[in-house]
Amino acid sequence: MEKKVVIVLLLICLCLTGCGTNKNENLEQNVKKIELTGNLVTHKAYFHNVIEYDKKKGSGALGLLEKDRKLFAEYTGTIKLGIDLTKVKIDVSGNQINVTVPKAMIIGEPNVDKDDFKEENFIESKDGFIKNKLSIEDSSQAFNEAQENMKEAAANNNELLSIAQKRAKVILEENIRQFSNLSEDKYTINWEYQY
Amino acid sequence: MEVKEVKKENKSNKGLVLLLIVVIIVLVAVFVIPNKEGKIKISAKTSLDRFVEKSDLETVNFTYNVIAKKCKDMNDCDLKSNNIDDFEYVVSCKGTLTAGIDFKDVKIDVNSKEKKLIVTLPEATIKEINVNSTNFLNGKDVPASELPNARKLCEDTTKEKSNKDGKLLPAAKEQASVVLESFYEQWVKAFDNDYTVEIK
Repeated sequence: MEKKVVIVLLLICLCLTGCGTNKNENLEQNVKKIELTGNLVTHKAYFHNVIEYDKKKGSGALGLLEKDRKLFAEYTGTIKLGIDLTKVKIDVSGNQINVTVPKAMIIGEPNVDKDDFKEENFIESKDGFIKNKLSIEDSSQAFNEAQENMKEAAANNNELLSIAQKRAKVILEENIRQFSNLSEDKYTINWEYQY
Repeated sequence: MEVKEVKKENKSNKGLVLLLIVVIIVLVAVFVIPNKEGKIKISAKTSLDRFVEKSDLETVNFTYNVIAKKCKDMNDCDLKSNNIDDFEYVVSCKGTLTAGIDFKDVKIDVNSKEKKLIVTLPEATIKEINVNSTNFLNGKDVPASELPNARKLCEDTTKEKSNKDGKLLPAAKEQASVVLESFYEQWVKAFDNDYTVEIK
């Protein structure tokens, strides 16, 4: 009876110290627990920009006396970048983990400060005898242009996209480390980046 | 004689059982019960150090383009004027600046009652300012010799505007906050799915 008790206790000891398990066998199962849903925001870029807005003269009779003008304003905004987690591929083969990190992208719409487009914030070129003033529609148009410019600038900014992708990679790497429950020398991660 | 030996064996077995029970209690005390709070805290900090080291978090550039105005007369000049003709020239300055937080000063706390990982960030600071290009907005006739002065004007204006920019430093801090939130929200799932992350 006591021998049985000793054996049971020894088994419990082994379980607690982890000597009796082969963690490598669980690598694939553990890594599968990583949730790959939704977007992972990894960078929020801040822009302080200058917009050049063309204010065309009016089309009516008075418009003939107006001047085409250029207006300039500083504006600020933020834009989020990251990756689509559903496009991340993780395959485990033995102790090799192959991970594909998708290209970083803009997430959501840019957040441009509308107050920057108030009339008083525009620097104006000389006006004609008949005033060609900035209207509310012009402010709104300039705001839309600024948003589009910012979106385009971020989408074409390889440095920003690279930062966002690199951070996503590090987050995924840390996730794999946490979920695998193994030290890094027990597995190898092979990274593939989509551009 | 034989009976004595059996008793001795029984005694040594009982001793072994007691010893094993003590070992189990110690192991449970050291590895199982304790201090999940402490474990999460230490591990969260270690992971952060690795994350910062691998992702160059502290060297993020911001696009910082400003408009700089050169007064016609320094003694009689209203920099707030929006009339471009009130100035000798007005220049659009394209620049970048580096701003961010010092990740060494990030504090991590764990509230095990509320199951919260609390990450407190220090305030952000501006680290570097660079002007990359200048473009005269009303200065078709500005001589090329004025370019170095325009550049200097751009540098001074960018510095002044960024220092007064009430949105820049909060944005730099938020930028760090966004990535750390993503990082820890993923990270914490490996420990306990019920935990939430609060970035302050």
